Amino acid sequence: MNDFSPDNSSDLVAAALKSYLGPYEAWNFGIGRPYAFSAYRREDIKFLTALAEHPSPKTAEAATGAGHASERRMWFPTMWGRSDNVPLRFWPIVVENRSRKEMTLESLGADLREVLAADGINKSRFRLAFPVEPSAMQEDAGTCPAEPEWSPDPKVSEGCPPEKTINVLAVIDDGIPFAHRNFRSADGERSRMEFCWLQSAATNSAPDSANVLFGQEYTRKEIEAFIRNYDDEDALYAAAGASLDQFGSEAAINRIATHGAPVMDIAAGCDPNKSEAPVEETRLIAVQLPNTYPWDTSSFGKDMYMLSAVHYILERAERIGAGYGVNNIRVTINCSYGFSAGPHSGTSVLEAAIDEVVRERRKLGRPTAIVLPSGNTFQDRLHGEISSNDFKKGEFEFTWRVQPTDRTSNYLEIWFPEGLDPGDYSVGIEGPFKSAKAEMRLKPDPDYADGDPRKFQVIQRDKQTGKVVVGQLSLDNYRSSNRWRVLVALAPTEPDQPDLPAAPSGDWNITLKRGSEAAQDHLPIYIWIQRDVDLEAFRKGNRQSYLSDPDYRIVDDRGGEAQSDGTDSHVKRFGSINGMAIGGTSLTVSGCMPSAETQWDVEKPIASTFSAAGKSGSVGSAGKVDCTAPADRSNINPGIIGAGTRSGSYVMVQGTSVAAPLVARRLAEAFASRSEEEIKNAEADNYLPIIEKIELSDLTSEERARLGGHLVL
Amino acid sequence: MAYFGGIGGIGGIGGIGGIGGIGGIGGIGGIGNLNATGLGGLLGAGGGSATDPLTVQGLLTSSQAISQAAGNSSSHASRELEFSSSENLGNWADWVRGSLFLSDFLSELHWEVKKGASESVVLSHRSRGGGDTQAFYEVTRPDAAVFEEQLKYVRSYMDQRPERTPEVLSQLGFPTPYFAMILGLTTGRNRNTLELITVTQVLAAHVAMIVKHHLAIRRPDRIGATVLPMIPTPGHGSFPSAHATEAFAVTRVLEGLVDASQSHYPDPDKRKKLLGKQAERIAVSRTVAGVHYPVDSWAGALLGKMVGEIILNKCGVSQVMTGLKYEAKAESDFMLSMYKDPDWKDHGVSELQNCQVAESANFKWLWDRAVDEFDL
Repeated sequence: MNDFSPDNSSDLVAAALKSYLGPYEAWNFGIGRPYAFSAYRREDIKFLTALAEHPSPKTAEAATGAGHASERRMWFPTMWGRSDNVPLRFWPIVVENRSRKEMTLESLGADLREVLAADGINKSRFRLAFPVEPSAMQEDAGTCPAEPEWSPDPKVSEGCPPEKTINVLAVIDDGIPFAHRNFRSADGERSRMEFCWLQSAATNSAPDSANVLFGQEYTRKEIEAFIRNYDDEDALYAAAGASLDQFGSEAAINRIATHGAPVMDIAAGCDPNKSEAPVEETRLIAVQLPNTYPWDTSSFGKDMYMLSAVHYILERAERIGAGYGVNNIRVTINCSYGFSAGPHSGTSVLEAAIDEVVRERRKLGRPTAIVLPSGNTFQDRLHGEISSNDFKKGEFEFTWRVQPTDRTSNYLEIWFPEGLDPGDYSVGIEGPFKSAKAEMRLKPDPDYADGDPRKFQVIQRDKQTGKVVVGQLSLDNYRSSNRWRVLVALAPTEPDQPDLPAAPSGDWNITLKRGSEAAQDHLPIYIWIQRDVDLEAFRKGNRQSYLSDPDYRIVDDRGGEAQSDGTDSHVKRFGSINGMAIGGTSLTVSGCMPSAETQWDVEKPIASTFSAAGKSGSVGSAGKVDCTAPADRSNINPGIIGAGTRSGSYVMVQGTSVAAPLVARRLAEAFASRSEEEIKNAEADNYLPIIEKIELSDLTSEERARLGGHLVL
Repeated sequence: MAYFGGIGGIGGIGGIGGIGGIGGIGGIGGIGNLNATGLGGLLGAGGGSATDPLTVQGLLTSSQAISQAAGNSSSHASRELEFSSSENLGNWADWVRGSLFLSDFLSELHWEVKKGASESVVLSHRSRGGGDTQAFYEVTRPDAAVFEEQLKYVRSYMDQRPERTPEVLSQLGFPTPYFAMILGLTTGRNRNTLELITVTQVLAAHVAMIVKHHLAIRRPDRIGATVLPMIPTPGHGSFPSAHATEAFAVTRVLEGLVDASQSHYPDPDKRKKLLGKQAERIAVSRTVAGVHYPVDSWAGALLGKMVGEIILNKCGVSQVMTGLKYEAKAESDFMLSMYKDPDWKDHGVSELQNCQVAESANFKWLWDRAVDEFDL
């Protein structure tokens, strides 16, 4: 079980402060741990994972040296840039939990402090992630995994037209059917997929030949052997270890409809049933995220795996380039993934980490593109905007509606504009029917000298038997970037374990008070609620909380779903954009459909109603959409048809997740045909200029915010 | 007169003589498919239709009124039907044929229950014409621990419930349309083939019930509180799965039919692969629903294979029939790719002796008509 009890919760908060961890870590491994996903609650966690951020870039040698200095074991997954000695600040790591006892925040802090002792923990940051299951870990692999046994397919160069450049297209997703017919060559026997990494598959290689630190890697030849040896794809994926459970989470590959199958198909599939000639010059890499992927749609727990996937893809892409004799091989990565909160200025840990590696690779003259979706939360009331004029009598009050029967934690983030020090502000929160209350002055706690300035407080609920903790209120200067964040974390309203305290469901009132000494004229303060949905019916019991405001208009004057924001409500649609898609090196794609008003002219699209966008006005910004691609066939035919997991199967999928991979596909085509100079010139705009597209003219500022000015078909 | 609608289930077999006849012969397992059964798909097929009191009254009065027109001369000599001939089967009502096939099959089926340290059920075949009692299927009763271990699989399949709900619900009875889809069967052209499928399923279900009754294994929801099946748990033991028995028996018979109609389909091997794959999916969907362990599917699939081969032999398609023994293993998931020699040895399957099954004129009659439906 856990050591949670209402009495020692303040000790746990203190522990969170001592060992520097961010507010999500503090909640999920601290007072919120009894409610956290089962993998965090286990007593026998052996392999912790984290995304470590060093104060300054380190070369691989320096980074791995730190691990050797310690008695505690630490491992690195496959990292790009080793051979070029590229120094990096962000490193995905796996750390041994040697105590083998239940983890506490203190032991966690000690674990991390010890492995990076050489660096000075005080200045490093850690973003924790899901642990690795022992069956999937190569603990004897040494500090870096072995090289893969891989050789190029001689038929590719033979079949590739001379004017085409061999390039790499990679997809990071879940439930990817790597042996699917649509990813093979015309003969059905050769795979176009050169590498596939299943991050959570049980490992079955000997330690000295383990090519990946955790999970299982399959090269093209191995995939082709699977295809030869199994005429039944159910048996194939079982033999490949792709259909095993992880921490009790079922593998998506055993379903027909998954997220990764249609996404990879739209990016790279060639359907023999539709006589599509497979594109030989675009070589494929797939990374399948752990089964634990759907557990937390707030993204906590996954950043390390995402960054590992990007490194793996780039490392393997260099091998593909060398193998096929292509200098500076061009790489497109599609990642139909995201979260709703975050700073929305391109500075979230994951954005910064991906930006770093992409920029380093571009610096070496190697074209590298990241394609991301704009998100699906346009209508979900997850975003709010508080302008300086909204503080009447120095206060602004808003309502956070938390749903009943929610079995997962809820998170609301308040972000101050860059440079605004909220020292003279305070935040108060009151549960439904005054059932719980907390108030916090937004000044960092001076007791905590190490790490980013921060402060924690518990939210307690009054019961007849005494007070119980049902939430956590925190302030932090996010990555010391002068973006201050308030995070409210609430316990589930119906915890999995019925004897645990539940947060009351209903309307939680949050009051932001601005002191008289604070600047009275400032850029808007933003609110984002983390996405909290059960994406693919994995039975996690998520229910989405939202901002409730009677002045928010759901329906427009014509009776349709409103697509604009009024000035009456602080709850906004614009600004709902994917919190991971603001980074400087990513190309952000929204979803659209043809409009009935233009006789279904596909070249005159309107935004899909769910398709999220950045700000449309001139005040404040929260990222922007670069271009749009179809996400619906029409307003009465939702979604796009893509491949199911088994060859010959089809599924309908809706969301910006299916728009992004089409843009990735068109970008790979451009990479195959454009000159080095054209590509170089398009780099600053993340290669949008070289993609075949239709320019959208006469757009209103709202349309431009949603569609981004170009349509890709 | 619900033929295979079967809310009454197997109880209906005793209904001979009542208005509406044998009622539930096909209804084993509850709500069945009302379409494409072949045996009585049409209400009262082959069984006469005048059963309502008003029509009976009307027939009486009209007979009074018209009989004078036939005159009263002496009767004519009539031709008799052939004695003891399967050629007469076509004259009988559908349910009568069903009854005859069932009696024929069961009259040659024997079972032995072994008690003691290792409990098992042995099924044997002995021809009505005499000869040896030949064991063709033996299954040992697994320890309770095996099923406790198997619960993990049952739970790990739960996530597929939303996706498979239509299949689970429409396969509560016999999943005939799922096989008809693969071979393109239609009620107009393929009534004999559909009757053969239904007969196979009825026989397989009866045999499975015998084994289930003796082994008496509790369903997953009784030993694991979180299985929470999405459909009501049936009122019979879990092991072996009757759905698996029926589906794999049908697959075996239809494989024989595809082989016998080589010129009909251009792609017979693909059809046969799909039949096996469909049978697997039908069996696994019962685990998804939360009413069967994977080892139930193993025991049922092996039993179904034997029932199918007995039927083929009775139909005159000579098959070498090697009996099978099954000892369930706790770690076995059920997958078609393992359901073959030698892979299935790892899952507790071993061979018994070879068996001989004699041709039956009645089964041959149905078989020949079914094969005729695939004449190009």
